[in-house]
Amino acid sequence: METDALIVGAGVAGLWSAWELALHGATATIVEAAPYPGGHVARFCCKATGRCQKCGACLLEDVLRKVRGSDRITTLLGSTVLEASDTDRGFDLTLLCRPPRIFPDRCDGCGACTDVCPVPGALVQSPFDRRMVLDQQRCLRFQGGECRACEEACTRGAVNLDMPAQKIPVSASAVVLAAGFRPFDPLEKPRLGYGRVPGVVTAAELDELIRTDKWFPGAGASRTRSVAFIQCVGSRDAKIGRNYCSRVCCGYALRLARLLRSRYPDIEPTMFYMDIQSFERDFEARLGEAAREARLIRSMPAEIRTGSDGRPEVVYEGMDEKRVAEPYDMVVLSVGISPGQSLGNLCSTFGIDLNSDGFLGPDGEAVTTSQDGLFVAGAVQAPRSIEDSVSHAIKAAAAADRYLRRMANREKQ
Amino acid sequence: MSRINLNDLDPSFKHRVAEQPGGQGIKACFACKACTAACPITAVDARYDPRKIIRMALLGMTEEILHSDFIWLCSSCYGCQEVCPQNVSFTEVMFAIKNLAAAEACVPPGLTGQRLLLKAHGRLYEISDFENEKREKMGLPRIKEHPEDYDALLG
Repeated sequence: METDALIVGAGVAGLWSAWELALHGATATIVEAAPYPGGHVARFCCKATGRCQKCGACLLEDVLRKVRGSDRITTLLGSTVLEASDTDRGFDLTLLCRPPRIFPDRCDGCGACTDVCPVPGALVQSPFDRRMVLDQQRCLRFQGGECRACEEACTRGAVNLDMPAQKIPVSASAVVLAAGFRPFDPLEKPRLGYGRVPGVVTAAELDELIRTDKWFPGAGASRTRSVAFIQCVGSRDAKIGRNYCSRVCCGYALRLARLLRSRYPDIEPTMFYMDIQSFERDFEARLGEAAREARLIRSMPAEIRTGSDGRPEVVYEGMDEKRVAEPYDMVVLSVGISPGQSLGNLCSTFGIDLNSDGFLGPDGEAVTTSQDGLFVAGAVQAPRSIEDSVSHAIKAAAAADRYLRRMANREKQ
Repeated sequence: MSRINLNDLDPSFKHRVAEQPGGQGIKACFACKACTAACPITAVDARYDPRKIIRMALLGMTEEILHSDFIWLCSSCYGCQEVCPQNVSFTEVMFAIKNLAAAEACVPPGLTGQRLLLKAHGRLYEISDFENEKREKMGLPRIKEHPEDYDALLG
């Protein structure tokens, strides 16, 4: 198989790079490890409160439609890059392509397979329709196990575990790495109580629950009214090697708080922060509006523990310099952006280095790398919002396009 | 707190603290308040506030810090260091500040008394017959009241 540009990752940055390259007349092949496209953004909800909050989540649906309609773009789901080597005409790559394990035309999303699956997160509902998808990087069967629980549980014969994965050789003139990020795992900060204290969730989890209409404040005495947002969880933290600002959490926490309040006006959000950082246009105005609706407390909690009434209790130093242990109905950890887990592999496959924050490629805003014809786009290179990922991806696509033209000219001569 | 006059501040103080062993982290503080929220001393005595002490040091309130009695309240539990996201190592910073205070003879009399006790007896309290009789009953040797080698060790 031959392609002008191979794009690693079908998140918002990868899709946008591909679309932009296709616009310029190039052919693009997108390789995505997950069984569905869209990356993290596919699980984010629209944060509009009757008025658009400019969160950018809709930028994905937009570009997905464009990519699906383009005959210059091929998308390979469930696939990864196994090997890559430099040639004078670009890259020779070997892809591992795993066939979809659940036939979309047979699955009706009943969830019988999820109920019997021993690995949490291996079988998930596709964010775009109700059908199930199998993550072959988690499934026991594809880690050398013998489990066939889902196949046996499916009444519609939609599960197929036996079709072999294929190795496909591809030659590409340019490669764009858009492998994205990994949300910070709050278990690395045990004092914040995640996984231990009931009622402590990550903002990403809450976001997905809202997207899938599974979050409700409840009724009566157990109704969720007070919600605490804890900022800088896994950001600006030298102790765990993440001494950078994730750039998105202040914005998304404020948007989530406003979204909750607009749907359920009796919800009282509180935000614990060390600094409010703004990287977006009109942020000051948004902050001003949010400050009228949410309590903003400049103080990082020392601990989140289970209170005597079973609710999570946030221990912090109050503004009046008194130690406070305040119970909340829900505590939302604003988890930051961590370098993606595949970055080590990509580094050794393509022979490039991580930057000072542990992301891929150079520091700053650059889209080029130390390798000719190899580009980086989006949050793979530094923490970026959806909007920033898109503009970075367009910049990467423009650089890749220039490179392709240069190569084509050279060949003509 | 009274009004701070910028002309009275000593901008070199933070550098002096940072030059002390363990004091290097002081300039990295974000004032996030996690240390204060984790401090068991702050909970019982509001005069001791790690975040405030760092701010005072960074501002250069040398006199107010070195001549205070609150810098001696630290229990060295390392709770602040545990929660600090910036590796300020505040317990070590406190040792640095206390060393500077000692160098400028700002140690409260009570602590000087304790130091003399330590020098004379090798411990913070005198050993009386009461302790030694108890030890004898348990089959332990008597503790020497004036061990010669302590003088040599402490100079």
